[in-house]
Amino acid sequence: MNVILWLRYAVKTLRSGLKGFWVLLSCLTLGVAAIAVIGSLAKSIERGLSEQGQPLLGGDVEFSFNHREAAASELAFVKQQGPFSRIATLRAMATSGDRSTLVEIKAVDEAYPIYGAVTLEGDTAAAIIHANSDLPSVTVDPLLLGRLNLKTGDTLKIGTIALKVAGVITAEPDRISDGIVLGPRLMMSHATLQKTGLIQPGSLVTWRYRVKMANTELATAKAVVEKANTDFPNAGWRVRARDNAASGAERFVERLGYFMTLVAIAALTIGGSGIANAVSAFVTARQNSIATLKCLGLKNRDVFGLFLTEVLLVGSFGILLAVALGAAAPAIMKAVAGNILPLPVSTGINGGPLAAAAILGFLILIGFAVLPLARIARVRGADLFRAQSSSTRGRFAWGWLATACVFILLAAGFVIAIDANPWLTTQFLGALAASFAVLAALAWGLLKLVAVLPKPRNILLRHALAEMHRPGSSSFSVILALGLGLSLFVTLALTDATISREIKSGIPEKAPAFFFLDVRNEELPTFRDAVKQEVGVAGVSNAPMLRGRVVAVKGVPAEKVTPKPGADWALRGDRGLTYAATLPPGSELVTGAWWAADYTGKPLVSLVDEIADGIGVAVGDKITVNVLGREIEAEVANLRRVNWRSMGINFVMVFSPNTLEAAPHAHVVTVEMTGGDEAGLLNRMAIAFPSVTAVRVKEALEIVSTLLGQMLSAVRGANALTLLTGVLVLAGALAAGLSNRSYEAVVLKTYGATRRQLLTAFAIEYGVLGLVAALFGVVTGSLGAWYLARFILEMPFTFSWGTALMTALIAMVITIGAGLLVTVRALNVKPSFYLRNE
Amino acid sequence: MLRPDYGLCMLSPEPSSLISLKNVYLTLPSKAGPVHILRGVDFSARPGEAIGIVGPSGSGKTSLLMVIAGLEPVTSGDISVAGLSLGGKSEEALAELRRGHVSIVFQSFHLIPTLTAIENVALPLEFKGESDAQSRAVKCLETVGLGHRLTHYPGQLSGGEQQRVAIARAIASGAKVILADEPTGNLDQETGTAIMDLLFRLRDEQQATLLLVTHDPALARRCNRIVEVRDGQLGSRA
Repeated sequence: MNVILWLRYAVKTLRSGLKGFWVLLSCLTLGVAAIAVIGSLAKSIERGLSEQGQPLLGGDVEFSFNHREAAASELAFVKQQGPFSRIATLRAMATSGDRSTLVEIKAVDEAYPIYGAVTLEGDTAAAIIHANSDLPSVTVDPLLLGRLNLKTGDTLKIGTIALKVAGVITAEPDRISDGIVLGPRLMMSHATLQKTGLIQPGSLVTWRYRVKMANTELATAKAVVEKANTDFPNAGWRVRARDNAASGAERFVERLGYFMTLVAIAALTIGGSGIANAVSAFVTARQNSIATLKCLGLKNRDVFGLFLTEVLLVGSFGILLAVALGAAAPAIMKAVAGNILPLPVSTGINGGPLAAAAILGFLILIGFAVLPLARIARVRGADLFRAQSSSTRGRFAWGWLATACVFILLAAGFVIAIDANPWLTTQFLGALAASFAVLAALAWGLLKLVAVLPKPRNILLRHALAEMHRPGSSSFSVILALGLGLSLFVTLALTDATISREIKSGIPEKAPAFFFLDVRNEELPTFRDAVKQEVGVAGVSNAPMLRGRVVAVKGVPAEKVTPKPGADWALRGDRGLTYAATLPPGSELVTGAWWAADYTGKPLVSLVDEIADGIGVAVGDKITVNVLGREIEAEVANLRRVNWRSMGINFVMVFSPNTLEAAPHAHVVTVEMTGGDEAGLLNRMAIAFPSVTAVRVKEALEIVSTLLGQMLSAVRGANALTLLTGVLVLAGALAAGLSNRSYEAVVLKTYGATRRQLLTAFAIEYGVLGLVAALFGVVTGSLGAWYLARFILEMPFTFSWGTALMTALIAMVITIGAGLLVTVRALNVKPSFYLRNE
Repeated sequence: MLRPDYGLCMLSPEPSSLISLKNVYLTLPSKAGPVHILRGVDFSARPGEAIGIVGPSGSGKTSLLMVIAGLEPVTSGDISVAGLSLGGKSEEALAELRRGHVSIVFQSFHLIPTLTAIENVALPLEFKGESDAQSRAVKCLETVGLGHRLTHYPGQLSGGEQQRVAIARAIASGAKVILADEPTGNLDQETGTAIMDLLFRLRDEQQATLLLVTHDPALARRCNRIVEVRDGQLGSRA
C-alpha cells in the first residue's frame, strides 16, 4: 500500500483549498463539536466538583444525622478523625412585620467553615454571628432582604425570638452539598438556634459533623467512610467523603449531558447524510481526474486510497477544530458565565470526552464516506474518451456497503459502550436507525411513484414533478436531511409542550396550597383549628412525618441492591416516613391486605407498587429502615398504587402505627384553598406558629418549573443544532445540483420559458419535498414525543396541532427558501457561460 | 465502405509486433439493441512505428485506442501489447500494464487540476515506485520546454502548455506505446503544429510506437502509415 504517497498527493491536492468540502466540513465539525463541548463541559463540572470537594462538602468527611445529634460513641469516632465543625440545617419561617418567608437555616460553630470561606458584603466578618450583642445576629442571603423588605441592621423573627441582620452573604462554599434549596439562606450560631425554640423532638433538623483530616488523601477519607459504616452498622448516619460532596448536582449534570449528547449524536448522524452527499459530489466533480489516474496506470485501490486520504484529511481538520472547541469550552464558559454558574468548572483539558468525540467523528466520517467513494471503482479510464460519462456501469458495491455498515455499527457500539445508560441509548439509536430507514424508503417510494404517475397537463407541475426524479436529483437527500431534522425538532417541541402543560395543569383542582411541616403533636389541634378559620380554606389534612433511610432490602445492604432506573431514589438518602391506621386517601391497594386499625404485631409496612417492583420486593419480604438511629425491620404487608399527581400527603413507605408512633415526631399538614389570600394566610400562620415551616406549593412548583425550563433550554439549544445540521445538509444537496439547475434554466430560457414560470415550477418542486419531510417529521416526531412522555417522563402525552402546523410551515419555508435561493442563482447565470462552452 | 484513395488491405499480425489485435470484436449494449463498434479487427504495430488512425466520427477510432490501452474489454478476439496478452486480465493487472508500457495523450489534456505541472508528471512515476520521479519529471518538462513552469497549475497554463505537460507525462514513464487521441483538436493550428513536432521528435528519440487518431490528413501523412477505420473495420494506406 502506498499510504505515504496517498498522503503526500492528498496534501498536494488540498493546497488548492477546501472548495467543495464545506458541507462535509460543517456537518462533521458541528456534530463532533457539539459532542465534544457537551462532554467536555460535563466532565469539567464533574472535575470541578471533585477538585472542590473539600470546600463543597466543608470537610474531608461528613457525618450527618436526621432529627438527632451524634451519640457519645459516634462523636468520639468523629473526634478521632481530626478537628471538626458541627452544623445544623433546617427549614423555618422568617417573619418581619406582616411579611413572612421560608428560610434555610444553617447553624454553625466557630470552626465553620473548615475549608473555603464565607464572604459577606462589605468588610463584615462571617464570625459576626458568634459575637455577643444586644440581639442575636444572623447573616442572610440578599434574597431574604428583598422578600422581607429588610436592610442590614434590621430585625426579623425566627421561631420565638427576634434576630438582627448583621451581614449579607455573598459566598457560601458548601452551599451545594446541602441539597435542594427552597428558600434563602440564613446563618446563625448554635446558641441562637437553641434560643429560637425550633429544636424539638421530631423536628426535621439535619446535624452534620465535618472533619478536617490530617491526611487529606481521598483514599484515607474513603477508608474512614467504610470504617464508620462497619463500626457503627446501626447508627443510621450518612457518612460521605469529599468525592461525594454534590452527588445530586453531579447526577443532574450527568443526565442533562447525557440527553444533550444523544441529540448531538442525532445531529452528527443527520450530518452523516450531508457527508455522504458531499463525498458523492466530490467524486462526481473529480470524475475526470479519477479516469485520468486510471489511464496513467494507477490501480483502483491507489485511486480510492488517494481520495479517501483526502476526505480523511479534510475530516481531520474539522474534527481537530471541533475538539479544540471542546477543549476550550470549559475555559470559555468560566470566563463568560463563571460568576453566575452554581457549579464549579475545572478549566483543565478533558482528554476522555474529546477523544470519544474524535473517534465517533472518524467512525461516522468513514461510515458515510466509504459508499460514495466506492463509486471510484466504477469510474473508467475510458470515460475520458467519451463526451458522456458511463460511470453508472458496473455492479453495486455490496462489499463497500458492508464496510459502511460495519463502521456505522462500530460508531453505535462505541456510543453504547461509553454512555451511562446503554439500554436507553440502544433504544434511541434503534429509533434513529429506524427513522433513517423508514424515511429513506418513503423518499425512494415517493420518487418512484412520481416517476410512474400520469403526467399532469399543467406544464409547470409536470416540470416540477419531473425534476424530482430526474437522474442526479437531490430530492432524496433533501427529504432525508430535512425529515430527520424535523423529526427531532417535533419530538423536542412536543415534549416541551407536554412538560409545559404538565406544569400548568399539574396542580389539580383539589391540590393543597400549602404543606406545613414540623407541626408538633401538642399544637396540631390548635393549628388545624386556626387554619380552618382562614377564608378560602377548603380542606385540611395531616399525617405524622419522620425521616429515615432504607438500610437493607431482604437482608441485603441497600448499597448492594441494584434498583431499576426510576426506583433508585427510594434507596438514596433520607426519605419521609409515616404511619397510618387506614389506607391513606389517594392510594389504592394493589396486593396484600391493609392491617387492622388496632394492629399491635410485628412491624408492617406498605410500599408503593412501582418502587417495590424497582427494588425487587414483594408482599412478605423484609425491608429495614433506620429511624432516629434505630433499625426497624418491617414486613411488606401490601403494595399501593399512588396517584402522586393529586399532590396530597403520600409516602413511599407507610408503617403500621405501632411501629413508629412512639418515636418523637411532628406532623405534616396540607391546606387546600379555593380563593382566599394565600400570602395573608402564610404570614398569619407564620406569626402564630413560629416553629412551623410552610412550603407554598405554587412556589415549589415554580422552582421545579424553572429547573425544567433551564433543562429544556439546554436541550432546545442542542436541538437547534440538529435543525441547523439538517439545513446545512439540505443546502449542500441543493448546491450540489446547482450546475444542473443552471444548465437547465439556461436551456429553458433559451427556448422561451420566463423567469416567473421557472421560479413557480421550482417552488412547486421544493414545496412538495418540504411537505413530505414535514409530514414525516410530524408523524415520527409525535411518536418519539409520545414514547418519551409515556415511558421516560411518565406524563400524559400532549399533542399540539400548533406545533405540528408550525413544523410543517418551518419545513416549507426552509425548503422553498433554500431551494429558491439556489434557483435564483441558477437563473442569474448568463446563458453564454454554458452555451459558449457547448 | 472504405474511402477509395486509401486503398484496402487487411493487416496481419507480425511476430515482431509490439501491438497485436486478432479478430477483435467490440459490441456494447444499448436500449436500442447491441451496437457493434469494432467488427473483426486485425491490426499490428511494430516497435518505433508511427501510425495515423483516421476515419469519420463514430467509426471506432477512439474505441480502437481504448481496447489497446485495456480501458475497454473486448467482446471477443485477442489483443497483446508489449508481448502481454490482455485477455482475461483483471482491471488491476491492466492498470499495471498501462503503467509500464502505455501512455495516452488526450485531446482535452486531462491533467489533474489540483496538482502542479511537475506533480502531474511525477505522480504516475511515483506510484510506479520510481525513486527518481521528481528529477525525471523536471527533465521531461524541460524537454518539452516547460522548465520555467514546473510549479504552475494547469489552470495557469495555456492550452498548448497544458498539452506539453501531458506529453511530458506520456514520455516520462518511458512507455513504448503512445496513444494520442486528436492531441491538437483543442489547439489552434500554429500551436498544434508545434505540439506535433514535439511529439514526433520525442517519439523518435524514445523509439516509441505512436498511434495517432486524427481528422487532419496532413498530420496523418507525417506517420509511417495510415489506417482508416470505417464501420468498425480497418483499412490502411502506406
